[in-house]
This record gives sequence, C-alpha cells and structure tokens, in this order.
Amino acid sequence: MTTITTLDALRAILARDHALPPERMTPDATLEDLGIDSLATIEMLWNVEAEFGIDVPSEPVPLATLGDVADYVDELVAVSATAADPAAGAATTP
Amino acid sequence: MNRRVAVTGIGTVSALGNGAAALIGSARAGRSGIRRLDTAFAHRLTDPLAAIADIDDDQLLLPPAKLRMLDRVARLALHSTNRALEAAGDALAGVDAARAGTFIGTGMGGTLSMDDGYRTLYEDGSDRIAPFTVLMGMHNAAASWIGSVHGLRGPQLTFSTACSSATVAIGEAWRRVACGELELALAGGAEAPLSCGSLKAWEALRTLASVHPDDPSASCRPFSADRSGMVLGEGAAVLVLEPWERAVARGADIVGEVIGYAATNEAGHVTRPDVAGQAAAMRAALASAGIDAAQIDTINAHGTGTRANDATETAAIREVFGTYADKVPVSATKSMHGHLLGAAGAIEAALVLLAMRERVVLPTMHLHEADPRCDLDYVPNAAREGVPTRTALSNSFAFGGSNAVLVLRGA
Repeated sequence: MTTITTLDALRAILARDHALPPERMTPDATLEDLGIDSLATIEMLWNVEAEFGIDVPSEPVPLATLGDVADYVDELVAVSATAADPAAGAATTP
Repeated sequence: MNRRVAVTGIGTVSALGNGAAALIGSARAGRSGIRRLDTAFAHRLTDPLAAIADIDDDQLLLPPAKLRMLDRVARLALHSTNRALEAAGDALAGVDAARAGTFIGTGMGGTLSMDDGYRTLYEDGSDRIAPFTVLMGMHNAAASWIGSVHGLRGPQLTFSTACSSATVAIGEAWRRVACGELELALAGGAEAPLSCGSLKAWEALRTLASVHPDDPSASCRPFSADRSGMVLGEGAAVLVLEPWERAVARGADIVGEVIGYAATNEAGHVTRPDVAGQAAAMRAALASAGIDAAQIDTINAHGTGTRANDATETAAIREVFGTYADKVPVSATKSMHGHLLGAAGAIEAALVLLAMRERVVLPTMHLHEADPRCDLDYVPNAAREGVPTRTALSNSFAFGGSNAVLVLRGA
C-alpha cells in the first residue's frame, strides 16, 4: 500500500513538472524513457524532500525506474520515522 | 580590419517595449518606461523606481522543465535573440555552425536567482536552496541558452565589464566577424537586476535617482541641473552581425554596420569618471574606424543622470570634438529606458542604428534646465525628425574604469 501511495505522489510531481501522462508513469518505466535526465532527477528529489518531509542524501543512488525511486523514498521515510521515534524502530526489529 | 560587418537584425525587450519597432517608436516619442516600483520589497527602498520589461515566456516555446532553469536574465536574452533572428530573415541558413558565435554582456548575470537563494538561506532560515540556483545564477547562462537553442557552435562568450559589458560584447564580436574568423555572431547584452539585494546595493552607493514628486517617469534626468542619479532597468538587446557581402548576397535587410570599437581602461578611480579616460576611449574608437571626429553626426551618450558622469562626459566630448562638439547632437536615452547596466550598450547601439535608419535624432528627456557644466546640444525633450545622420558614437563608461565605445554607421 505504501508503495502505491508513494508512486502516486511521484506521479503527481512528475505530471505537474513534466506534463507526463499517467499511463506512461508505470513502476517499471525508466526515468530515461520518461525524459527525466540527471538534472530533472535532482529537481524531482528536491521536490520529494518537501513532499515527504525527508532528507535525500547527496550520495548518488542508482535509480533506473519510477519503482526504484518509490522504493528508495519508502526506505528514506522509514529511516526518518525511526530516527524520529527510536522506540518504534526498535519494536519492529527482530 | 578587412571585412565590413553588417547588422542584419535587432531584437530587444525592455520597458520601451518588445521588438525594434516598439523600441524606436517609444524613444522617438519620448515615452519613458521608468515607473514607481511596486514590488513586495519596494517599501525597503528609499526611492523605489525601475524600468521593467513585460515579457510572455510562453513565446519562448521551451518545455516548462527547461524554462524553470532560466533566470529572468536568460529569458530576456532569448526573447531578444529570437526577435533579432526573426528580423534578420534566414541568417542562420547555410552558416557553418562552428563559425557562428554568441557574445553577450551582463553585469549581474542571474542575480535574481542568487537573491532568491540568499532569501531561502538567511531570511527563511531554510537550507533548501533551489537545485538550479547555480545554473540560473552563473553569468554565462544567457549566452549558453542562446547558443544552445539556436545551435551555434562557435565561441560562446560572456563579457562582464559592468556598464560597458554589452558594448564590449558587440565590439569583440565585430572584430571576430571582421577578421574572417566568424560568419555570424549574435551579440548584445541582457540584464535583470531588479532584486531587493541588488537595488539596496546600488542605493548604498548613492547613485540612484530620487523619485520625481510629480512624475516618477521623469526621475532620470541626464545633463539636467537637477539630476539626481540613475534608474535601474531590466531588458536585453541582441544584434545579428554578419559579413557585409554575405548579407548583401542573401538579400538581407541591412540595418547598418559596426565600423569601429575600442575598449580602454581608465587606470584611475574605481567609480569617479575621468575626462582623459573617457576621451581616450572615444579617440581609440574613432581610430579603429579610421575616421575623424568631424565625421561623427551624433552621439548616444553614456548619460546616466549621475552628478559625476554627465559633466565628465560632456568635458570628454569637448576634448575629443573641440569646437565641432557644439554641432553634434548628443542623446541620453537612459532618461527613458533606464540604466540596463550590462545590457545598456546593446539597447543603445540598437537605438542608434534604428534612429539613423529612421532619420531621427533621439531626445534626452526631462531636460529643462541644463547643468552649466553640461553645455552641449542634448536634443532636449523632443526628437528631431527628418535629420539624416550617417555615423554615430555609442559611449559606455563603466565602474572599474572599463570604458568601451562603438562606432556605428547607418545603411
């Protein structure tokens, strides 16, 4: 469920900034095919930071598809939630 | 120099309107584009005045994702370039792209984007600087976008010599076309300096005009006894330069030609203008054109409306022209379009060429009582119609002492 919600938010950002039609923004669509180059990716991640209230690290992460971006954002959101509430993080750790 | 260089297209956007026809139409009518500034930060300024361009960025036909990377200065530059190329007909057809160059002057580059970034950092207390700030703030962005959008692959150069930037850009482009290195050059200047930070900095230097109590549009009054300073303006102008023979061969509508140019250094005070320095720049430009002062029919003065410049420039013109100075009409069009800093030389060169074509000598507006030290014929308050002029000087004298002068000839 989380992934779908994240993907929807990414789709909304890209639809707004790049006028991409929803049907092209499938999880396996590559950023390259969507016309999202390295600069556009930087801009997208900057908007993602505001949208999800997270910090995207400056180290480059290979993000080939829209699904990759959604998974990466979910990871960062989880890390952020753990940092904000360590007890919650500890409870879910086996 | 071995080849004649024609100007075959002029494009411009400024407070005097967009396109060459609007520019010359406003200037010959004496319409000032200077207004009281009503932006959100206007209350922070002692004298909120500016000359603002009105542009529609949809006309640039760039995808939104690209347009977001362009600071206003690059947008102004592209608007002007597109109009210049439109006016020049098929100037780019058949040109070897590697021999087509871009030469743009700008004093402050993407200062609006830098100002936005600083506001984010220091006023909002946020570390989230917009990701394209570097790309938008860099001085060469305007030239870069011009060259990229139009596929020019020759030298892509940006000149930043404060208020003479565009004059230098046009002059340096002229040299490269004249010597045979280039087949075409897009040359001019662009400036978008109307940020709070920039205006406050100019205000701190005590160079800006005070608001005229009755008519804010009359606040910049070059050569007038009651002048109080300059008014910052935004805008751009770009000229298409190409070898005369090529222009004739392709049946281009030739507006005029560049026949001389000089850039000199005053090696003196950083802001206080110097009669000898300004005179040296004019003499060097005349020498480069191979003509005498007596062959100059009209001068577009640097004419900023500051106490220091106008009296010094008057004395410098007298020094170069001697008694003939009384016979040469001198126009200070900054009284209408404001001071476009690094684009000033381009809009003024454009005005000179267009005025020669239209057989009009442009006015210095709001000049009702001249400073006793300013005793030339400044064409006060009304254009002179039906006056044939063939050869003109366009003066640009900059803070830092980087002076530049163009010699222009009508077609």
